[in-house]
Amino acid sequence: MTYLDQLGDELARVGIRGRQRGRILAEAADHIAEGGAAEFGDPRELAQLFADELATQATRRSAYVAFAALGLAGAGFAVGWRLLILNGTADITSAAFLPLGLVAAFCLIACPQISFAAGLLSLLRAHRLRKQRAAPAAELALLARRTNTALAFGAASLVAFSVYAVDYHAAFSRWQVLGAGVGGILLTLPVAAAAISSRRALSVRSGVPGDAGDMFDDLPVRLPRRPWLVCFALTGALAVVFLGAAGADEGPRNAIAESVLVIGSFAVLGRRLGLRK
Amino acid sequence: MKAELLKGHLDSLVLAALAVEPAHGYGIIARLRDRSRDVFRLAEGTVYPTLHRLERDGLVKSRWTAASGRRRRVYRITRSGREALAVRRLEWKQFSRAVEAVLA
Repeated sequence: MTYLDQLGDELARVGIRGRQRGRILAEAADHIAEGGAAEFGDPRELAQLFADELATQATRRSAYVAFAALGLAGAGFAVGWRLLILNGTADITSAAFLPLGLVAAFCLIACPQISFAAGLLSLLRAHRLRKQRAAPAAELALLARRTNTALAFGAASLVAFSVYAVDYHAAFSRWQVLGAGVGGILLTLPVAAAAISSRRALSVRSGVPGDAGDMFDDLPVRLPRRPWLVCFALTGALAVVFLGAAGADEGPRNAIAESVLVIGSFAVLGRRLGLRK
Repeated sequence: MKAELLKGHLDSLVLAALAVEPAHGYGIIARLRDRSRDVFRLAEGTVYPTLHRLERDGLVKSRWTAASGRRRRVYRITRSGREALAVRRLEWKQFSRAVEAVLA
């Protein structure tokens, strides 16, 4: 087995394939033809060196791509929603198939918020890593989890939007239902493209040791490292906003529902998103 | 010289080597070795991740050429690369002067 074969295998092992791998091997072949393989370095270490940097760059870039895609989808979602409820929202019990309608309605409220929170956390981490050449594998894994969670819940929001419009079609005009259905599908395209970018980034594996950290490492302000305290403070602040935004009838109900959503999401997704260790 | 000591400065050294004239990876290694009077010796392959990163950052550009029947990637420094090198030279002068003052 030649040196170049070994290097090729090692590059494939760390997930560097295609044109990138071809370029590295072509440059190595030229170098070795001139100076020999003895001084070129251990193939495993060299492949890992490439992977450490490429994984960091690709994971960081996929976080930015995801946030841009979700921003685009979010803007479309907001416009689509305004158009759908032009003549008022549907009665919650008027769905063609009520269980599906209720799930869609719940997802319409919960998924965009979770997607936004995960996307924001992803962006904060990507920004923190912007000057790092080779970030620890654990940090990149956390960044990828945040990005993928944001994308998954973003896609779920768009699906819920289409399903809601179709299931509550009796309350809307035909053009509204058709527009919501087609719009929902079209808006998932940038999200799907970002998901592909994120999946590609995950194929290259960093080998840099280190801790993943948590949200306290990402925040631009120093807070006491007590995740649940921060969660309850955020919940309280949001509850006040929801109380103020709605009337006396709906305000308390909305505030309680939002509090349950925030605390529940924190409990279920907290570790996955690096909100707590 | 220990490779670890060199690693932190490899970007600047590669940019400085390319500021003279364009070169391929082996040429850069040879230039570094010559100009350091054989003090800078590192696993030669490690210069390539650095070159690829500098290219991603827009500090160098590269293109394939043909040499002795082989494909050869030749790198040249960009205007941004020259500006970055000027900044790094200044930083290095300040740093080395300070270290010299302390160690002496």
